[in-house]
Amino acid sequence: MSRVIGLAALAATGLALVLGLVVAPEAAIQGESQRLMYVHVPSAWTAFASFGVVGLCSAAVLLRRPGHWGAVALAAGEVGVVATGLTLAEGSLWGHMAWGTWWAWDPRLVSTALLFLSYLGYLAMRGLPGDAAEQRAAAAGLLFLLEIPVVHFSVLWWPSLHQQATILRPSLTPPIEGRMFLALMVALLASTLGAAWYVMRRTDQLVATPAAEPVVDAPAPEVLR
Amino acid sequence: MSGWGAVAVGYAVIGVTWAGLVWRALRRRG
Repeated sequence: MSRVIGLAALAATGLALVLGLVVAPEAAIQGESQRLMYVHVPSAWTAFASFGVVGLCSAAVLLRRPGHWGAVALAAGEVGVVATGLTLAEGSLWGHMAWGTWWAWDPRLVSTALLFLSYLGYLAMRGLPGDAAEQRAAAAGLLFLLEIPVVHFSVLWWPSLHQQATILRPSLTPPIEGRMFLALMVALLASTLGAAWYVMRRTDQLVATPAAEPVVDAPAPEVLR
Repeated sequence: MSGWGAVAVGYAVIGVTWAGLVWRALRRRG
């Protein structure tokens, strides 16, 4: 199954490259640098979707449902953190081109950086030994989900440099040119399939070879209990 | 930086990062 998804991700990536770099027209005001949208938006979506998976699997871990939910949550957390980092990096580059600055203390940018640090913390918690640590990490993985609507609606709740949603707005016809829309949708599909492939492969890997026992078999510090 | 320059850097960053993820998912854990 993961092979089929991996091949589909590869095919979608190739198509997304052609659509984003060749077929989609140059943006009227921003010029060619607007093509960064086809990597920036899919990264952000992939981060949100991955953290959604972390949340669902964390709930299963907390409820002690049978299954390898902890492994799926860890795999999704890893790809989510990488995708958030990519969102920040691509956004910084695009900001440099469109706004004339690499970084601004802007609600969308700051809330995204906070999301990145939160799930980086989640991954760090997953590195701690013991079943109790996994339960605590699951609680954090579920709690951090609350940040996602804050990131998404930050551009509506506070004044922001960042543009508002183009696709996810209450309008039947998104204000975007047809070929640009197609390129973005295929790029979103490619990124989603790639993340799904990673989670499936990595979960198998984590289940097949559980993390080694800690070298020092000492009780966890008081603060972690 | 020109528009195409930024696009080249941006696509290279995402390409290298995803290549890293693929490598991580494919390697065997020792």
